[in-house]
Amino acid sequence: MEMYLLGVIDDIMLWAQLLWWLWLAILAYFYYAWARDHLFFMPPLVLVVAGILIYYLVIEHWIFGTLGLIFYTLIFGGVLYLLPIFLPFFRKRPGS
Amino acid sequence: MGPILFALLPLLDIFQTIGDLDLVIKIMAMSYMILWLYAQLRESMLLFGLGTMLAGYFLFINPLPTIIIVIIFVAFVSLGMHLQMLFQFGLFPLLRFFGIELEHPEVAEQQKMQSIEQKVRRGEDLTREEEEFMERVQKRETKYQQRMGQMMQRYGH
Repeated sequence: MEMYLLGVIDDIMLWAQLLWWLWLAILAYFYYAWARDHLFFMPPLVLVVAGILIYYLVIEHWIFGTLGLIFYTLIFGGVLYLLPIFLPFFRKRPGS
Repeated sequence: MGPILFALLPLLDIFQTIGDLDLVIKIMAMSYMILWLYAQLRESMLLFGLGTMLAGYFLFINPLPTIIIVIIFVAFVSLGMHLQMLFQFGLFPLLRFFGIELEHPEVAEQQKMQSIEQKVRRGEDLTREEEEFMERVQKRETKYQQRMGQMMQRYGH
């Protein structure tokens, strides 16, 4: 087997790494934005709270941080309003 | 086996995780309380500071009830409108599809009436139940209109 073909794995790992860092950055921005939205009247406190949230929910326990983001987006993003539009696909046609 | 696994739990750092998340939840609850206090008391910073100290005191002394109250407050007061829309436009249509009616009966009645009218417009046959339903609603509506007409005659100009 030509060994140079294994370079594909390196490429995949590199892209996985890059996407992983991108996801962590998105997560960190999400929690920073949360702190900014809730404590906009105290800029130093925004930094402190955002720092604590990012340390615990992005660096230490990224699983819970990701779950939090998904839950928050699901509930408050308006995705659930769209669920009933899929109902006609499951409804019985009048003819059949 | 169970007790051994339970004894090994600290090795999984699960208590550490719970402690960390506990701190995070407390900080988020405190943020919500400070935001609410600022919205109420931004005219007088003295009261705002005292309120913040009081909120912190409550959170320190009995964290669980305070967090529960904050969650209830946020869910039903701050996000009540959103919750209502989520129920009305997300949950109820889904449940109605599965045959569960949780809405106000008048809303469901109106929707049923609309679907029957559509059927009539398409020229389809109605079932006996649908015909009876339509008759009942129409009878009630004519009665209502008659009563309104009487009221207008009596009290209107």
